[in-house]
Amino acid sequence: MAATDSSEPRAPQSASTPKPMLELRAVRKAYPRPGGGELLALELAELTVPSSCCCAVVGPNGSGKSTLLHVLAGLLRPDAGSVVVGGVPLQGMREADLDRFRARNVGYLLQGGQLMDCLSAEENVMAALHFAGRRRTRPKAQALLEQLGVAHRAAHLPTALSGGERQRVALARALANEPALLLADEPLASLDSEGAAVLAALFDTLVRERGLALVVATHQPERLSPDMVVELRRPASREGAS
Amino acid sequence: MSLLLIAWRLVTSRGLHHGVSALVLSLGLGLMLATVAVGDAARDAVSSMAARYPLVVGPKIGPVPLVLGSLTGLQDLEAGTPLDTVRDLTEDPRVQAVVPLLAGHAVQGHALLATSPEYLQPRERFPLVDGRVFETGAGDEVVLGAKAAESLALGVGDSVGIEHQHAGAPDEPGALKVVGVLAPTHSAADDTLFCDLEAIYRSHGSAHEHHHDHQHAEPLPSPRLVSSILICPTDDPALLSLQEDLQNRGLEVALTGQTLRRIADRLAGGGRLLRLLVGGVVLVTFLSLLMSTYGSSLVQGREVAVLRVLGARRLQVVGIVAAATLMVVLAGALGSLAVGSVIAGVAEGVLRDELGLDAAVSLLSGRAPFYLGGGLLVLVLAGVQPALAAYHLQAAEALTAPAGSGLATRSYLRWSMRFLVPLAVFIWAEQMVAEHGTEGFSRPLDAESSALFDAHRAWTTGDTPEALVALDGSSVAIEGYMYALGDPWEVEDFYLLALNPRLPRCPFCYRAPTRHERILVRSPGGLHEVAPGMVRITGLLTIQPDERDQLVVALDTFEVVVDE
Repeated sequence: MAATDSSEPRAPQSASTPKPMLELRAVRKAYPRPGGGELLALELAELTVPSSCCCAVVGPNGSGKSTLLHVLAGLLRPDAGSVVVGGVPLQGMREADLDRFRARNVGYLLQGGQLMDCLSAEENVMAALHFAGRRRTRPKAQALLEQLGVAHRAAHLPTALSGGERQRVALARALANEPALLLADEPLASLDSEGAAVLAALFDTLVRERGLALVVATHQPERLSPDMVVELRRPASREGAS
Repeated sequence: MSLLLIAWRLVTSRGLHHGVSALVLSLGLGLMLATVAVGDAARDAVSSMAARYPLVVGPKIGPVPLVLGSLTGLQDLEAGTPLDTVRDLTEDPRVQAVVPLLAGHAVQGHALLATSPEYLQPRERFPLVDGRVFETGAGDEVVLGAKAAESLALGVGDSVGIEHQHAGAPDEPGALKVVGVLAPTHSAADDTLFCDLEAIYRSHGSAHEHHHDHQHAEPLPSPRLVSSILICPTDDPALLSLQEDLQNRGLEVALTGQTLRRIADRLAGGGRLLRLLVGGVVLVTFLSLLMSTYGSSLVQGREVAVLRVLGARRLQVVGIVAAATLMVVLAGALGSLAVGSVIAGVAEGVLRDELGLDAAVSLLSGRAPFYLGGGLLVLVLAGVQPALAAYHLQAAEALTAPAGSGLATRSYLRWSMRFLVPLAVFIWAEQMVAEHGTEGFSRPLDAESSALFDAHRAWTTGDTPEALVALDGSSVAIEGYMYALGDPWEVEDFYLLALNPRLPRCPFCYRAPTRHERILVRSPGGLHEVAPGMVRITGLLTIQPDERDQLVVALDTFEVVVDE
C-alpha cells in the first residue's frame, strides 16, 4: 500500500502469526546546533517489532527514546532511513495523511499522561475518538473508561485525578482508536509500585489478548516483562541492538 | 465532541484570563464607539439647531455669546435690538420664520423668556403635558417648563406675577395666567417660563404706572427692544442677502452653524483631540489583545501538541485556536456595545444639560458601525496570531519543551509586529478620512502655492482674517477636487486647498480645517454657490476674502463639474 495513494491508510490488525508491525531501517535524526554543526538525536540501524510484542526502549536521558517514539508516531520526520508501520511506509507521506494515519492506527501514551486540562476525562477520550473519525463518541469513551476502571471519574477534570487515574485515562485515550501500534513514553515514571504493576498488567493484556505491538520507552524494563529490549546510547556511540 | 466544544473548553478553562481580555476589548471598543457616536450626534445636533434658525440677529456682543444666549440659554443677553426689526423681518419676503427673544427677566429664580409661540415649535421638541402654548399677542399668558412648574408648584389655571414681590397675585399688574406646562426636555427650557413679548412690555407699562420695583436685569426698554431674533430665511441666497442688510443696520448677525461649529472646534481642538483619543484607544486595545493572546499561547502550546498527537490536522488545530480567540473577541464586541451605550447615554445627558444640545447618540448609525467593523477587523487580525502560531507548531518539540514555552516562538512577536501595520494604516486612514475626505494628491509644493497655503494656514489656525486679506488678489493655478460636506453651510475651503495638486500630501499640514459659510464661484454670469458633493475645478483660482467669513473663489478661466 503506497502511502501517497491512500487517503486513509490502515495498518493491519494482529493475526495468529506475528507479522512485522514496525520496521525501521537506518533511521537518523539530527537537529542543527545554534553555534553550527548538528546534534545527533537518534541513529538506529534496524528495528523490527512484530504484532503481539512488547518492545522496551531503554537508554539514558538524551539517548533518543522520545525522539524514536515521535518518529514512529509520525510527529517527526527522520533525516534518513525508512519507517514502515503496519506495512505502510511513513516517509513521503503528506502531513495530513500522517495525521490521519496516526489518528486511526497509532495510540500514544505521552509522558505523564499529558491529558488536556481543559477537557474532562471523558472528553479527553472523546477528542481522540473524534479525530479518529468515530461517531457516537460518548458511549465509546464511557466504555473505555469503564474497562480501565475510571468510569466514575469521567466528568472530572484531569487536575482532580490522581496520578494513577490520569495515567489510566490517558491509556483509555490512547486506545480510543483501537490502534495496532501503541507507543508509551515513560508510562511508569509517575506511578507508585502498585499503580505501575496494574499498568504493566494492562499492557500485558493488550499485547497478549489484543495483539498490539507495544513500544515503551522506559527506565524500568524489568517491570514490564518485554519481549524485546532496544538499548539506545548517547549520540557519540549510539547504535541499535535487539 | 466537536472542535467548537474544544475551543469553548479552552476559553472557559482560563475564564479569568479570557474574561479580563474581553473586558479590555469591551472598554476599548466601547470608548471608541462612544467617542465617534457622540461626536456624530453633537455634529448632527448642531446642524439641526442651525437648520431651524440659520441666522441670529442681536446687539453687537459677538457671535458666540449671541448664539449661545439665543439657542441654549447659556449666556445672558441684553435687550438691544429694536422691535421694529422684528416687524420688518416678519414682512420681508426673504424670511420664512422670525422668532424674537427677550431675556433678562425672572420669576422666583426661574428665567422668563419672552418670545413668540413659534419658539416652542416643533411640538416634538417641546411637548406639552398639559394645556396649550400662549397665543400671539397674549399679554397675560405663560407656559412653564417642567422643572419650573414643579418648583413653583403651579399648573394650568394658576397665576404668577412677573414682579418679584407680587408673584402669585393673579390680579396684580403683570400677573400671568398659566396656560400650559411643558414635558421635561432635559434642556434649559425645563427651568424656564415662556410668555409673549407683549406680556413683558405690558408689565413694564404697568410697573411704571405703579412705580414698582421689577426683578429686571435690564433697564426698562423704551423704545421696545428685544434681546435677539432667530431667523429662518426662505433660501440660501435670501440668507446672504439678509445677512448683508442686517449688518448694514449695525446689528450683530451670527451664522448659527458656523458659530456653533467654531465653539465645538475650540472645545475639542477641532476634533483632533477626539480622533487622537480614538486612535490611542484602538492602539491600547490592540496591544492588550496582543499581549493577552501571547499569554494564552504560552500555555496553549502543549495542548495544541497533544491535539496533534491525537491526530488533529494543522488546519483543525488552527480552527480550534482561532475559534477560541474569536469567542473572546465576540464577547468583547458585544460588551463594547453595552459599554458604548452606557457612555453614550451619559454623554447624551451631558450634551443636553450642559450644552443645550438635543443630541440623539446612537451606536448603530453614522460612523460608529464602520468603526466597530474596522476595530473588530484589526482585533481579529491580532487574534489570528495564536492560530498561526499553532499552525506552525512542531508538536514533537512542544511535547518535550519546558512548560510555558508553548507557542511562544521568536517569530510570534515578529508576526504580531506585521499586524501592527494594518493597525497603523487603520488609524492613519481614519485620520486622513476625517481630515480630508477620500481624495488626496501628491505633488511638490511650488513657491506660489506655498505662500498661499502658509497664509491660509495662519488664518485658519490663528483665526486672523488679516492673514487671508493678505491673499487678496493672489492667485494660483488649480486643478483638483473640492469636497463639500453636508449642507451648504458646511462647505469647507480647507479641502479645496488640501486637495490642490500643487500641495503636498502631508496629513500634518492640514490639521486646522476651517469652515466657511459657503464657497462661491464667481463666473461671468455672477456668483454661484458650490453645492455639497465632489466638485472638480480647473483654472486659475483667486482668493478674495471678505469681512463676513465668506471665501470667494474667483476663477478667471474655469470649468466646474459637479460629480454626481
